[in-house]
This record gives sequence, C-alpha cells and structure tokens, in this order.
Amino acid sequence: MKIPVMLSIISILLTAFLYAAVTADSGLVTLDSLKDKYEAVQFDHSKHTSLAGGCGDCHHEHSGSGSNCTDCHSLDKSVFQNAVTRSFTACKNCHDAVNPDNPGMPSLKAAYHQVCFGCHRGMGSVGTAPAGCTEMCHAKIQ
Amino acid sequence: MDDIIRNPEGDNESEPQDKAIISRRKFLIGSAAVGSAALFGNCKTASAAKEFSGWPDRFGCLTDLTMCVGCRSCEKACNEANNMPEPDVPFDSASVFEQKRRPTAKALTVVNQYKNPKDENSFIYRKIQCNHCNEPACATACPVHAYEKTPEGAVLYDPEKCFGCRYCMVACPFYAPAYDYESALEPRIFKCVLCHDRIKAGGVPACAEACPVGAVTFGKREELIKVARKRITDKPDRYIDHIYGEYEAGGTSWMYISGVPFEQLDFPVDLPKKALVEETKGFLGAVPVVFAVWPALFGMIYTALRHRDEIEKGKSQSHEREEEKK
Repeated sequence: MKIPVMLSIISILLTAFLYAAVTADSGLVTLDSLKDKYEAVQFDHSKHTSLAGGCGDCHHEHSGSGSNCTDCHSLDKSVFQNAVTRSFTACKNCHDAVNPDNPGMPSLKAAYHQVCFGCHRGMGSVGTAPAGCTEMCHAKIQ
Repeated sequence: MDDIIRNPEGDNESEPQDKAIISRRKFLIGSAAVGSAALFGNCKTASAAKEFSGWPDRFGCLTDLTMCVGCRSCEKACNEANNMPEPDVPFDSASVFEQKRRPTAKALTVVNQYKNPKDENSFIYRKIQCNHCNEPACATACPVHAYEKTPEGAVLYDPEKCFGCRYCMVACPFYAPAYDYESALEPRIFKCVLCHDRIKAGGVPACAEACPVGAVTFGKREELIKVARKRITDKPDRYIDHIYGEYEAGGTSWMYISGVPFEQLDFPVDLPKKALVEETKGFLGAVPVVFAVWPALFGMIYTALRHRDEIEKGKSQSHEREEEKK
C-alpha cells in the first residue's frame, strides 16, 4: 500500500515541479513528500536548466533535445500536464513499482537520487555518506 | 550356507576344500558388491543433488556496494516490517558505524562502514543479512530440520521445531543466524526471512523497497545476475569483475557487486564454489551405510571364517582318529 501512495505523491510533486519550472518566474520548486522527516526540498529548476548541457542530462528520455522546455512542450497548462504525467515519456510510466522480472528498472525515488548523484556525488558527503542527505537537500526538521 | 561352502557331492577328499575356497571368494565378492551397491546408491543420490541448480524462478536481491550511502533506511524498514523493538541507537545516527556489527536477534540486517581503499576520504557501506544460500549449510547442520529453502528463494526457520542447539550459527559462513540469548524459556534463532510473506503476496522485501538510492535491487535471481553483469560491463572502472554470491558456497539468493575486492570489506572469500553441504555429504551419507551394512558384512565374514575353522577342526580331528586307529 505504501509504494503506490508514495509514488502517487512523488508523481504529483513531479508534475507540480515541472509545471512550476516552466510557469513560475523563479523556477523554484518545493518538494515536500518527506515533510514529516525533513524540511521541504527547494529545487531550483531554472538554475539546473542553465547549468545542464541539455534536458537529456537529467531527463534521459529527452537526450538529444534542446535545452529549452518550450522547444517541445506547449506552455498551455493542460497540454503540459498531460505531457509530464500521462504521455509515454512520463517518468512513472517506467520508473514505477518494482517489477521482479525487470529488476534493472530503478524505482521512481531511486531514479531521482541516481540522477542527482550523477552530478552531486562527492560534493560534501552527498551520495557517499548519510550526512550527505541533510547537507544539500533533506534538511533536518529543527 | 553349508550347501554353498561344502561340496554337496563330497566324493573327492581334496575337492570340498577347493570348492569351499572358491565359494567363499564368491561370497566375499558378493558381500563386497552388496557393500558397494549401498555406497554407490548413496553416491548416485549425491550426484543427483549436485546437478540441482536451485528453484528456477527464485527471487533474490542484489546489493550494489558502490551505490549505498549508509542512510540505514533498510535497517529501519526491516525493523518495522518484522515488528522488532526500538533500537538502542536511533536509525538516523551514524554512531553505530564506530564498530563492525553483525545481525542480532533485534536487528536482522545491519550496515557497516568501511574506509574506501580507493579513496581515504570516502566510505563504503556494506549491508549484512542472511544471504539465502541455494543449498544452505544451516539447513544441513540443523538436526531437526527447522530450516527450509523455499521455491521463492527465502531460507526460512521454524522456531517450533528448533531446540536451540545453534549448530546453524556454526555452520553459516556468513554469520547470519543470531540467537536470542535473552529469552531463557523460549530460546530461538532470528534471521532475515527475505520478507517471504511479502514476496508471496507479490510484494518486495521491506529493505529493498525502502532503499532511496536503489542500492538494493529485488528481482528474480537469474535476472539480477544479468543486471549485475550489465553494470560491470557498462562501467568496468567502477566495479570489479565479480558478482559475490553467484557461485560462493554454491550460490546465494542475495548477491553483491563492489568497486573494491570483497575481502577488503570482510566478505568471506575462501568459500568453495560448490555448496558447503558437498563437503560433508559424502561423510554423513556414509554414516547410515556404516551402521547398517558393516555389521551385516563383517558378521557374515566372521560366520564364514568360523565355519571354515570348524570344518578344518573337524577334518583334523577325524585325521587324528584315523591315526589312532592305525
């Protein structure tokens, strides 16, 4: 029961995050699915967009595409939401519940962390020690 | 017996003895054949067992030691899934890494920290739990069959059968079974059960589900080996070319891939490729044979020899009588 609920929360957050990334001026996205344990994660999508070589650096299904979301996505709210949550490229379509027959497919949260660690591993303790969890993203609740 | 050893016609004085010797030889050969048949039967069973490569669709887990960040989410999830008591040290504390731990009656899985031999400033984390051997030594050692290897992959333990001898703890090469020393009235073993009930219900072991970074992957063992091999092939600089548990101790359901040699992380690396049971099976299989066949075999030989002595004694006595007559 916990996985579907968690995955739904994460996918809703992802939608919100992507939507906010495109529409909000700041590009700052709040991820708070673990708000019981940690402070909400403030993810700056605009900053990542400007630093990354292209969307494909994080969104592997987008490799080869340009660095501007609007190159492909319409900014119309309903069209964009459909693209990131229900289209064939929605993360959760593949990175969903664990399939024992296809263990090579990481779960959604594992996929997130692996993408983050792709660049952030070794920055402080991120991706190398438990202290890293609270250093950059999951600040402990005071 | 008399008919076999004695010459039934008995008209030639020298013939009975020759016949007796030949028949005795036949008898000994026959006895030896019986003995070898018993032994051969045992060997045949042993070789048949050796060919058994395990339940085909059994599940397992793959721990990628290059991915684990030591967050201990797996320990917490395991604790909750198995209704274990609250730990002495909270799960978000890294103080537990000050010493090397092993699974206990209160913690079926533990994570230990090692300095990375490749980089002194970073660490490697090793999760320990029962590896769920294909042919578990604990099950072989258990005198009351309290252990069972299930088709789903888990090695299960039945506390109802256990009488607390702890042979399984001695037999396990991975130090997985832990004894509950605090319970005097109902002593029992605690060990990881691969969340057997969850798997049977189509779920995932709690630790694998909880791992936020995908360091513990659950799946069918055969598929996990493919995943492990692919990771090693794709990133040969990141991994050493070894899937620990693919063959160790006859293969285990829980396997590991690593960036440094396994002996540097205290994995037992001197284990045979064949199951540990193969080391003892020949001897243990011979025990019933020794008890059943040897008394019969030596009893028959003894009877035969005594019978020969009686015949010879009888012959010499009749010879003496003839001498006296003369």
